[in-house]
Amino acid sequence: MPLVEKLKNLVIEGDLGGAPKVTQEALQAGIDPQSIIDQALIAAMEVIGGKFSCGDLYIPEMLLSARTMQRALDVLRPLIVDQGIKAKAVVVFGTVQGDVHDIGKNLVIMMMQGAGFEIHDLGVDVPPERFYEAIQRHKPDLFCMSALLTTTQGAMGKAIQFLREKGIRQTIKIMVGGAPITEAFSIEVGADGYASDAGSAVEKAKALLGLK
Amino acid sequence: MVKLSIIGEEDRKKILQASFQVLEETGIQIDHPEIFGKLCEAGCRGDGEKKRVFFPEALVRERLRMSPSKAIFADRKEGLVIAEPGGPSFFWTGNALNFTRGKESQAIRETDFAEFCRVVNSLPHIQGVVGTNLSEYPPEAKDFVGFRVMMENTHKHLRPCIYTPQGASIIVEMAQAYLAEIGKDLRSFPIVSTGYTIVSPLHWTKEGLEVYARTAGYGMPVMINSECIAGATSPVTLAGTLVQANAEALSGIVINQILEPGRPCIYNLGFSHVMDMKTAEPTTGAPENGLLAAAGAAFARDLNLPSAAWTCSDSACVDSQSTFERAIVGLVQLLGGANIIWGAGNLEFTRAISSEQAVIDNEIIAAARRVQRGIEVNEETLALRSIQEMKSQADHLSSDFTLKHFRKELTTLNLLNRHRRSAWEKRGAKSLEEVARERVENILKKAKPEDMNPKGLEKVLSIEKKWLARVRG
Repeated sequence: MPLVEKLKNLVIEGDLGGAPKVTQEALQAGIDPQSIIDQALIAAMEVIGGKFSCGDLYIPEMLLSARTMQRALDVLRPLIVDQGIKAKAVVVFGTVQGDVHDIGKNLVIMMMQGAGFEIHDLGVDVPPERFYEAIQRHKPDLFCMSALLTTTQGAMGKAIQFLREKGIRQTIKIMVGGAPITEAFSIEVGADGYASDAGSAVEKAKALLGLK
Repeated sequence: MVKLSIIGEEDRKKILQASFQVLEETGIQIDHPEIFGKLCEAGCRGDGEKKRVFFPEALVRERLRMSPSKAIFADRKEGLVIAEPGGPSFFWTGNALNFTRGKESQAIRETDFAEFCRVVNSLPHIQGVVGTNLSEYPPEAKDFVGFRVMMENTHKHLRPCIYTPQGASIIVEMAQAYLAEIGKDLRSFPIVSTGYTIVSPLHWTKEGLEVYARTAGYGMPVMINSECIAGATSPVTLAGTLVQANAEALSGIVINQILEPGRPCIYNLGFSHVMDMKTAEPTTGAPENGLLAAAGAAFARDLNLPSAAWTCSDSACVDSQSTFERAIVGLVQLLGGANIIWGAGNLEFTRAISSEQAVIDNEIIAAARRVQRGIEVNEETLALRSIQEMKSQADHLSSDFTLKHFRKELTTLNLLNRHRRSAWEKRGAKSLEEVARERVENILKKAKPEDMNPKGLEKVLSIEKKWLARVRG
């Protein structure tokens, strides 16, 4: 079996030990890092994402595959930096001010990492000023906010307004999500998109950013 | 009474001991500086930099002894009921975001919630109404406006859903003003109770603690909720989740007993969920929900405290799933001995309420309570004389013995079909959902908003108006 195909299968199976080893072998065989990322790692996570969407996979199994992909990426990371290989998209992510819940956010992050996105996770209870600073620093393509509570969802509108006042709202796409969030609410607060669950968040993000 | 033992005494001791270890060694994050200080003064060890408080077992046990074994809840019409370990179970509704009719669902408006309260008001097996999210009001007003809507539409015990600490203070102000008009107060006639949920794992937020602080000092019952999601915010093993949930609830009881020694606290592990590992949703109708809540009720009995639970369905509408989940989980919680069981009328992981589901739940509760009552065996019920008189005649139907006992012995259910097919067809061949919808419509035709004390109502409306104006700026 070709090494790229072998690595793809190892990521799908969640073989934490085998994936870094085969990644190394692939590099030694002269396969370039970008091909390894696209044809093995991201391709594997697409299979995993598809199985998850169909309800054929449990979340812990998906997490294991995502972790396996990260182990392979650890091997590739120095080369990625050297060769200037870019992520599919850069994302700044956080749970809004006043809200300390992060399960939903973490699930979406895992799915996005699986799709080859570079994530800057600001954690929970993030005020608009910190979102602004992170956006200035990382220059993301996408800014994502999460909220679990009806009392904190209003902070999404405040954060977007803050970016508007700072004059950078139009420079990025904004997505929101969380238990009380609806499509109508996302429009009301001025976001560009909304996803109801982790599975659909990646597709929505790709559509917003014009990615395949 | 039929009782269900979910977890043995030795296993409960192991779990309790592990919870004490968590409280003492891992500690709880406390975001409220003043309460952090009070806990340290009371004997806890604090790490100010990490906002972490470590609770010694002796202190927890000392404060547990201060927490009364009984909590009293008032219904404006029916008077007082007592929740206590080993005592009866009371069913309440649950909070939500959406109002579901048939397969349609929309954000709850004030008129929807008023309808729901009026329907529940006429259902004898539901004893309390829980506040909910009123979509047309800002977060700072949802709780106290909802409280007024509840007061106007039901006499049952009221448990507003608290959105902000200020909202909790306003509700206390409204309740006190109303009770003063009828010559009562919150301590002697608690028409309203409160509560808050820890953020699992092991984290009390400033808002939650401030709600406890602002509602302390009135003798109002307070529900201490741990709402773990096994496999997400707590260990996936049910035993591990119980260790954590127990530590979380105990920490809340210690805090409340420091803020108001002797305040009635309801120890609640029964809001716990298990994560669905395919959809990432916290289930409410899974068999494990019943097990966790029933185990929680057993711990409450050990600790001599009243307990609580939440039974719901993960179904998006009133259907076979909603009835199936409710019946299984609700029965386990009831037979497990939970004192206050939330969730009548709830659907969709507690995201929705439905008047039809409340009507069906009322009937499920009636049937479950009959199971709980069990089989009464005494000289009279053995019916020896009746058997001897009848010999081989099957004429018990016309006997005085049957006339005397059938109402108490047999459950009368009003929604379920007990006709043969031909009679069922003559009656319109209706499904349970259709019968429930008709029942709701009939209730709404008859029910009028509750007659409140006019001066009391005036005061409540005036407080609402004052605070709404401030909230809206």
